Amino acid sequence: MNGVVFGETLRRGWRTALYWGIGIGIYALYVLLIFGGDDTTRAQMADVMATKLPGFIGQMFGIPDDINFMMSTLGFLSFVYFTYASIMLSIWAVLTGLSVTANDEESGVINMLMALPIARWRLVVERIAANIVLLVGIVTGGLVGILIGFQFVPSEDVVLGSLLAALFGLVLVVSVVLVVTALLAVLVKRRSLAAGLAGGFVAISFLLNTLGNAAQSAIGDVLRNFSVFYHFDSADILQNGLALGSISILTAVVIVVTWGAVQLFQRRDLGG
Amino acid sequence: MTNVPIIETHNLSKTYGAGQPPALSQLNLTVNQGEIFGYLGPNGAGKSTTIRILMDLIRPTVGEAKLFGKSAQADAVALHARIGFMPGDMSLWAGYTGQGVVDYFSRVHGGNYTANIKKLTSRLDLDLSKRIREYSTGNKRKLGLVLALMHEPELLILDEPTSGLDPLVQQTFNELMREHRTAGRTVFLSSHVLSEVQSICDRVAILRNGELKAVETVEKLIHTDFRWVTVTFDKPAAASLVAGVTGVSHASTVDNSLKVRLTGDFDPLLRAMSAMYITNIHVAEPTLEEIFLAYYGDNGHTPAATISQTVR
Repeated sequence: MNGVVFGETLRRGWRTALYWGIGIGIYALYVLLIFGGDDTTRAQMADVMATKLPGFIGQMFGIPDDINFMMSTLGFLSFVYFTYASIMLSIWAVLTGLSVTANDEESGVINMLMALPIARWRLVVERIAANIVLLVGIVTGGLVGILIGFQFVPSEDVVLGSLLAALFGLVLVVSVVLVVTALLAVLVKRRSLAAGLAGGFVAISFLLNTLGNAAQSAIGDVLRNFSVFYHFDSADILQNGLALGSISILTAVVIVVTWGAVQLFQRRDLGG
Repeated sequence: MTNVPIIETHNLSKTYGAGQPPALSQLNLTVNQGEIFGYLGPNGAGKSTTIRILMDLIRPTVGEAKLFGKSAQADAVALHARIGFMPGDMSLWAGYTGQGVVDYFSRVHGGNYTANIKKLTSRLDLDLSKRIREYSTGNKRKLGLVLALMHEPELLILDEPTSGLDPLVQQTFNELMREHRTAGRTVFLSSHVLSEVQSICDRVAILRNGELKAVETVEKLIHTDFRWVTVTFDKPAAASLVAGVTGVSHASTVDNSLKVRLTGDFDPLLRAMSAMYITNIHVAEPTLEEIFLAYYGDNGHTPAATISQTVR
């Protein structure tokens, strides 16, 4: 029946998603309370970044050239929260991407599942869709943490719309990791290999973005285009809103990679 | 049993990789409505490969499989609604309870089977409140049977269904299969435990190294092959008495009795013993195990000892 796999995936995953949401929310609150709320700490950090940290190191880790922006609540959120939340949630995305098909294939459950009246494409699409819904829930946990944090730090420069746009961008970039992992799992079947490849994808993607940023060269700029993280510039989104180009690219990648995973899963033998 | 074909395979073949021997070769098989069909063979014979193709879990290299006249591949989703399936390896989500799995599968089938589930769990003595990780192998098999039977499917496809079941539950299983047949439904089950096939199947197919060796009714299979003849004399007799007699082999003696394996007519044997005073003659049909070994015995690929170890 339509939607049963979607519903079951939500039912099975909500508790884990809740824990992740609480964790991300606490991290957001921690970021705002410990760093954003303490003027002395911020001033010290600004001094370190402006005078002691080599420029390329700062660029590698996405520290904006404008230290004043960095020291604003928005800049702080962008660098400390969004950059690291995207990496943390990428770990969630890899683990969850494996649950689309690989976990059930490796355990043999797929034999029971695919003997039911469920189309193969439906299993992949409904599980991915449900996990993206769970991801929205997790990111909402982060939003709650941020909103609570705003009660304790100056937040006049924060526009809620921009914040929601940045969170939407975060959902998209993590969704890319999720579907790429799902595709790799469909491709190689073996869970551990798929996890390794997906982890490699995240690491290389992160490096391409940070090294490309540090290199400040034409080649670096070209290479950065191949990184999913490049297309999620939270600082830019928080200041200027969503960049249609990046959003379109990330959305297209999610759709095309999901389609690829479906096609592969439709055509091949299941199980070991 | 009717002549309406429920399962049909045409030149069904499967090779898992280049350079590998075929796991299944040119299988042509028809299973009719209302019969219990046994699919026999030692481990690695190709039974599970056939079943996995029928369930569209794997795709054939050559040939096609049809269920209810429809393609097992192209019409898989619609067909699976009419099939109850139990795989050889009963793997389920360890953290789920039995009830959780039953509920999920019921939702996928789109029906409420509470009454039937209750009846089945009662007959199989299965507790659905436990988590899958707490189930023994036998209880997992029972749950597999509940999941396969709960929606009263027109066709049951069961891979080694009684493996791990205790004798009492096996008896219940046999009853369930007979009831299924009585209702005009069809059962296709694989096994390397021949005694279960002998008691419930209408027909059996024997598979080896991916090739179909025979398809017969159980009755005919028993009657068309050899018999064990035990002749008792009034005094001890030597096995040499029947040496060279047409159709006679495996001669052995115990006290006054001579036991031989006889293929074909009785007359040559009786003539060879005509000089002796016969007090009794006992004729025994071969068991399916013995027929099974007779099919494979002289080939040498699967030593008789290997097969007999798998026979309960």
